[in-house]
Amino acid sequence: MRAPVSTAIAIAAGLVVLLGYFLPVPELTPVRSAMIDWAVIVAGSAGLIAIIHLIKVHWKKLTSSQNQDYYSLITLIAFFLTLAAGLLLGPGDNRFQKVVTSIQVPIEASLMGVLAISLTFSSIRLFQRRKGWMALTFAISAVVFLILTSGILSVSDQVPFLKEILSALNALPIAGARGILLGIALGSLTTGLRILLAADRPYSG
Amino acid sequence: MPADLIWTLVAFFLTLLVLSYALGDNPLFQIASYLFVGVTAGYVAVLIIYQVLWAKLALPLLTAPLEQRLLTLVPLVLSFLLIFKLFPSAAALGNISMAFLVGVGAAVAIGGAFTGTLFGQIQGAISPFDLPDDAGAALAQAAGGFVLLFGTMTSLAYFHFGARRSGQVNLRQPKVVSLFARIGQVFIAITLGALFAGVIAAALTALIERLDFIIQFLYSFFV
Amino acid sequence: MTMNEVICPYCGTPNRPEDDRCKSCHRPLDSSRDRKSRTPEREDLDWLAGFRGDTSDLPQNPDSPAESGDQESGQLEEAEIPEWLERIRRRSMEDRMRHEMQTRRLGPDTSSHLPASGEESDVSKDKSPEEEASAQTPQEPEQTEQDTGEPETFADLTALEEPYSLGLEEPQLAEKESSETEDATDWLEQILPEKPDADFEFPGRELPTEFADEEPAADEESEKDTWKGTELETFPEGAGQGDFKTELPDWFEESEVGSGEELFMEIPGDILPESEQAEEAEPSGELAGSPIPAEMTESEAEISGEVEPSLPPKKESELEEAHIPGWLEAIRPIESVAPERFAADADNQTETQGPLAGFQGVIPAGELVSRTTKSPDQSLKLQVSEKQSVYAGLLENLIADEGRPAEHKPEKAAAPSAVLRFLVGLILIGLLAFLLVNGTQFSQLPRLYPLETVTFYDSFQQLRQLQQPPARVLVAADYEPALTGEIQTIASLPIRQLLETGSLLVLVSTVPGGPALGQQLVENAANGLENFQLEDQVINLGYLVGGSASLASLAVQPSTAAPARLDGTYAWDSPILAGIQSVADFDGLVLLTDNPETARAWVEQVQLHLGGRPLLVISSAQAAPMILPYYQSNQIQGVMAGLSGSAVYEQLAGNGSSPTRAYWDAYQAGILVVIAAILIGGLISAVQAALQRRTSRKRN
Repeated sequence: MRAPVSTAIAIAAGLVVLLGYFLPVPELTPVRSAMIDWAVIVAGSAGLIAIIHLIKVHWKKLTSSQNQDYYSLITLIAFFLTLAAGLLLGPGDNRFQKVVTSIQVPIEASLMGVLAISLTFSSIRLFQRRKGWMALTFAISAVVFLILTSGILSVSDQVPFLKEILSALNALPIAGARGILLGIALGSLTTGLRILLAADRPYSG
Repeated sequence: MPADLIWTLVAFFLTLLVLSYALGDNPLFQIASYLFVGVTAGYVAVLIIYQVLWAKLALPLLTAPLEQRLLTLVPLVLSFLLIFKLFPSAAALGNISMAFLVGVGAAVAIGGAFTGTLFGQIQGAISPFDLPDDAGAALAQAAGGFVLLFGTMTSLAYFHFGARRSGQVNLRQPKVVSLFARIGQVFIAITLGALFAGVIAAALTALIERLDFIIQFLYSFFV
Repeated sequence: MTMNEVICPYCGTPNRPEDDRCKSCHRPLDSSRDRKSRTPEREDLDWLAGFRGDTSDLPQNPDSPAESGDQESGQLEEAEIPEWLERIRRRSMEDRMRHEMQTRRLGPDTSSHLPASGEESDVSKDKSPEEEASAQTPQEPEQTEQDTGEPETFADLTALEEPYSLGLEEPQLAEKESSETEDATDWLEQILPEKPDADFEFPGRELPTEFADEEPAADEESEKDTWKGTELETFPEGAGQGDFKTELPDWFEESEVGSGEELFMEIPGDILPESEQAEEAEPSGELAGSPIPAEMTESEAEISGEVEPSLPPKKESELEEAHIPGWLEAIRPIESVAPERFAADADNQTETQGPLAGFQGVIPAGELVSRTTKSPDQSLKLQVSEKQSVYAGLLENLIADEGRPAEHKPEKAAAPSAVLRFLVGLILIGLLAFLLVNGTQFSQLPRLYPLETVTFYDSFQQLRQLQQPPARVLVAADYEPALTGEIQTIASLPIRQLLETGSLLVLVSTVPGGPALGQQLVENAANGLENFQLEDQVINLGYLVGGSASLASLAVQPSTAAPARLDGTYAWDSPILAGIQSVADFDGLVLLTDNPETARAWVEQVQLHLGGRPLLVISSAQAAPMILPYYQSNQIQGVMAGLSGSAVYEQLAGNGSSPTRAYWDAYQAGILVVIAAILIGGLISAVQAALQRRTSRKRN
């Protein structure tokens, strides 16, 4: 068997946590809680390792003799300045939080704004890209829900049955969404079980 | 110049840099993107250091009772092993930590999906058939419940990829499943249409908020 | 076609061996069997040219079974063994008769092991002259051709004395030997005693006397160079220092060069092929210690196949009559089917693993599998008619079209994409900015209230009205900075209402930016509130690392999952958190999210542990469709989604001066622009499709 130690650890840890979900064994609860807490700490460490790796990649891109990427310098400077400021001030400091509110928010929110323009532009070409009754259904659904979201029909709240019709329309996406959620849950279940049965070992790579 | 004004200026120029992407990819947008990556990585690193490594690892090791200290050694060792993931030659040592992480994550996902979504959504699908006494309301509720149940089933059928062997090589879905899947496509298309409308609405709101920020800034700066 | 068939020299028809006359043209076949006395039909043929790749011009020997493909071309040539070569063969025959007889016992079926592919050719370690030439420095191509030939002449002349090559009257036996890789051990044992002989000719600057007569007349200068090149190829350093030294002939010992190593040093680097130079720089230690010199492996491998290159590289005019002997003809397909020089490459490789570690030029199984060889194009000359060529061309085009990806049809658009995109952006931004600047409020807020928003409002009011003691609400700020504008706009009123009534807020987030955004939201919402102290009412537990796992931990042990404040200090000594053991101890949970996955994680991991406390969701419009099933299944007690949900909530709360109202006109106008874009795009597409149908109908 490939990576027997890792496999044993994954199965054991997974089974303990899973049994804690379904079996009302009081002795199991603290063990389960401890294991989840350990996993949270390890996940944090993994996040830090990932960031170190990211910086390593940017450093390599900057110092590479071929295809040198000077933009990486901006990333590196920004990273080290933010890190230094955070370590000095602490994440709870209002000045440090400006990193999020005055740098991350404008950039990300503006990207969303650009997305709005792109979506409007792509709406024109909706039928050029995809044809057929599925595309038609999708487009009709999009238009109907845009109308519902915009509240344009609110002026006609006196029209008989309109409220019922709109309520019914509003509930229609729930059917498909529930199907998708159930599909996701079944997929999670299958994937998790495959890991716990050692059929999949994504950690042994 | 007050710090707030500086930060507002930074936000203003960053907004302009990113919105310049509407004209196409350009170096200003690249600068903003790389800056964002660096700042976000630094911020997350600070959060992890303070909230995980310090609060959950260092503090218990320094201040907690002996028993808890010993327990904290486990994630400490697992975290240490993860460092080897940075070195390809010794990366296998980090597999133990990854195995632990994946094992616990899989169990959490199974438990949550089972108790949270599967049970909950199945219950939600059948709950409309718990009919009230009023006949009219019951009929409407039952009709609505049936549509939802039918839509859910057909949507699930759309994701059913099982097939039966027919003849030598041809694999075919059973006819009922195939029919359900086609109907399920309609429900999924409706849901995706609603999601598309939602994304447009959210993106529009973000654009409006950014434009409002720019207008407010210019107003306060020049007027 | 089998090896036992006899090809008619006149019409090329294959006949059985026992036939006297051709079954097709009825001419006698004897003449084709007794070739040696016949003059070749094409005397000007240079048989060497065949080894340089132009094998289509080779004289074809009908006796050679391996040349069956060439026989079809009808260019049958007689094979004659050169006199000098025949003498050697004869002498070797006498000396090695016993071995030969042993070899013959291999059986008649060995003919089936024809070297019909590159595999066999590789196994036999055959090096064609073109391969040799390619191994030389490219600067001197002419000299290279000559150089490569001569030394190999001597190497292979020695090899001719070997039982396996010289004794072969029938070519299939030689081929059998070359393909019988399993017999390598026996092979080596038989050759080992003669190993020194086989190698003497390499280092020597003088020719061994025994071959002096037989040495073809060659240009002396080229000969000198040739020696060097050959020594390099076949005399590794280790081997030269080892066994060879003790068995050097007198003539060699008397020479200035005492060892293979010294010889090696004398060779100018520029005539070395790169691969050879690499080997020189990195001699195999294992080889040095081996009782078998490394080049022996090569020599042995060459025994069956290297005979051809051993022929003298004379100038064409000096060549003896260019007749291909039968044995040579039988070998020819080995390189004809393996025109590439992978045999040479393989020879240069040294095994690094396994029992053959340290050996050079052993069977490169990997290469055999991975490398494919071209078919012997020179041997296939189809007699095709014009019509057939046309059909073949059509078929070729058909196949080529199949493999070619379909051409990407550029989308037809009235205007270029960039311009259209710019125009759309300009219209949208201009319209929204105009409405924002003017602060218009001409549009009405929605009058139809979605049920989920109404229940959200009801549940929220119940929550905030808990006064004794004040409600403790867990607020999860799980949204990205991208949608801060939307979430903060719609959540500011409910949060403000909570703070107004003195509720205690505990902030957590599973998103890195969440703690700062949550803090900012609370501060903005509390702006202007009287008697409000942030530290008294709000505690920020920061970032929960680990997604679902951290939520599972938070559900049962919040103090372990989130032990510290955002600044890292211990949090659970705060009065806000006093008495909190699990999430069920909170009066409610308000989730601010822009992601259905986050909402799902909270429902799956935390909702069951809330113990009937309300889970209320303030979500972005983009996440709402996937959150609503949880509301419908009563796992969530209320949803307020997007700006429209906020507008409903504000109307229910009787608050008409929030940012939602300020944005509503622009929002509605933007939505209308998108709807118009979809409809206009659809209309254009429909018109285009109708026009296309009409055009195609007209054409039809």
